[in-house]
Amino acid sequence: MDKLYQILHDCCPDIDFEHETKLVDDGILESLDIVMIVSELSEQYDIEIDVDDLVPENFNSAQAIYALIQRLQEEQ
Amino acid sequence: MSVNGVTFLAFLLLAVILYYLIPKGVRWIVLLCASVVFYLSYGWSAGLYLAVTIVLTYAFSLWLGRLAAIHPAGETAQVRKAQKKQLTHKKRLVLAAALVLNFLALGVLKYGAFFVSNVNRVIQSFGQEAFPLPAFLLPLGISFYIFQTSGYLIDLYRGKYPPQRNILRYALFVCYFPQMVQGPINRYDALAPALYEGNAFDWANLQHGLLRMMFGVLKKALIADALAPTVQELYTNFYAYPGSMAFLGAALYCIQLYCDFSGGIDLLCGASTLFGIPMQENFRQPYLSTSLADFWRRWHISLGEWMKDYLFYPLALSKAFGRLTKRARSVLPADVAKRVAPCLATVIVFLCVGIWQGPGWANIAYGLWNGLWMSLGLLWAPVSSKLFHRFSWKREGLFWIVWGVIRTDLLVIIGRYFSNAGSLMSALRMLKHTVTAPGFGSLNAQVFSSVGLTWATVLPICAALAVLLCISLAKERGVQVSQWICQRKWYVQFLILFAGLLLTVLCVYGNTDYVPIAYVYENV
Repeated sequence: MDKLYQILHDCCPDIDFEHETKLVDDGILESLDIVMIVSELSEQYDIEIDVDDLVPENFNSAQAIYALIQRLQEEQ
Repeated sequence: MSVNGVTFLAFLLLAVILYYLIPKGVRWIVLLCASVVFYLSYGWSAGLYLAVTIVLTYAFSLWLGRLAAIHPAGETAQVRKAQKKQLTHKKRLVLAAALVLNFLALGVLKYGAFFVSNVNRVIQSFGQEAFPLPAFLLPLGISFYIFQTSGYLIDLYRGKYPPQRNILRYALFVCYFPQMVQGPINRYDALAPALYEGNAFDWANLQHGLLRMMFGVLKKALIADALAPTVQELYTNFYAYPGSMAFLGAALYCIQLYCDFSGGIDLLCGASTLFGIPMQENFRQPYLSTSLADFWRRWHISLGEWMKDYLFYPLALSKAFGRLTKRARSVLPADVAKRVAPCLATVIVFLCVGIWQGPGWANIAYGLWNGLWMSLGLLWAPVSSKLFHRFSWKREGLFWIVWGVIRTDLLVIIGRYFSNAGSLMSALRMLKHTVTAPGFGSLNAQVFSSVGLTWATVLPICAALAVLLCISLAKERGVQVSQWICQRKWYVQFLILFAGLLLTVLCVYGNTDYVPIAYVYENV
């Protein structure tokens, strides 16, 4: 999880990933940020994140993003 | 049938009465019939194009649905994986064929003449004879229904929902009349349930719908149409005035366009609310945005969402863009490298937004203007973040919010030089005139009155704008004005509704001096 927080902070230093739980719903995380994060996650965790995975539920919080990574690692 | 005329109101009234008179199960048929009548009132040939699109996309939707229903049933995981890959490939081919056909129709009808005129320019420079310019009919709402049907097909490909098997129900989704003039580009999963359900009569829907319709009509008549002659004069004869007046023209055009487009959307969303059918919202106080990215999340939302889901994400997450990021990492600092793919995807998306606005290099420049500034914003973000951190500035502070709004509106106004100047050269000349000859010293009452800005014309516009600003600020603070009105005592509601109706009749429907101007985005 620490590694994920580091990646997220590097991409979007102004966002409080530790506490926000409605990152997409509240418009805190923009599509540009999401693409940047996805690109970093794909590189760092060696996973393939599909367009279908880009739903608010998967990006509303750091925990949700972590769950997505774990799911994709298991699947792939 | 112009939607801001009395005929449309009579048509709408009849449709609403019929809708609630017949049994719930078949109410959607009234909507379909009304939509067909509405669309054919613009001409039979336009209807033919629409019918072809409906039949074609319906056939492809069933095909995609059939492929999506097939589940790989091989004995081993390896076989199943191979089958799945084959199936995905087939689905991709079907979708590609559907999208090519769909966008080809839009491309030929909307951009055919622009393409031929550019080809002519090239071949004429080699002394060859020019091709005659094609003059195709542009069916009403083609840019909206092509995007709507394409979005539907992509969703089917992604397995988001099963296809609509009833062709008449599907036709209603495509040609539902409140969305045909200038959108919004609705999503099937959001619109379909209310569209087919047969909604029960609800007094609140009637109140909300009527209030919103009145608001839209007044916005269009009192602000957009009142500003239109001044804007037209300042864009066409900008050389006759000081350069600062050209800037004023662009700023007024921003207001005119917003009140025209969102006024039309209010009228049509209000009309849809009368049937109990909510459509996607298209605006959220765009001129209160604090960045250009924020502006595009609040302006023409349905197009922005469409571009994000069906173009930006697939493009930015494509393998080619992945390779680009990898290459960028090897030559650029990490902080910049990870921003390369989203930046490039943004420029491409806004290039498409510019092209969507209409044929012409000026529109392409408009798209690039927005795309490049947004990309620069993304590249600048880490530096800005460090600065804010270093000096302990607060982004939510009033100064930074006001600064953000002014800066964003300035960029939007300059962008509008391109989108309304008629040609790229004209836009650049206008911009040059603004910068090189602002002529602040020669601004006087005579200059303003010569473009139609006298106290008599400006005061009513300012009053209407003040009301609009108050409503926008209230919405920004989360207060829904129509909901607020509907929660008042019955006589307060009655008074507001009566005053609104009176104003609408006096200023619009009963005013013989007022001739409505066609909506800017009608027929794009």
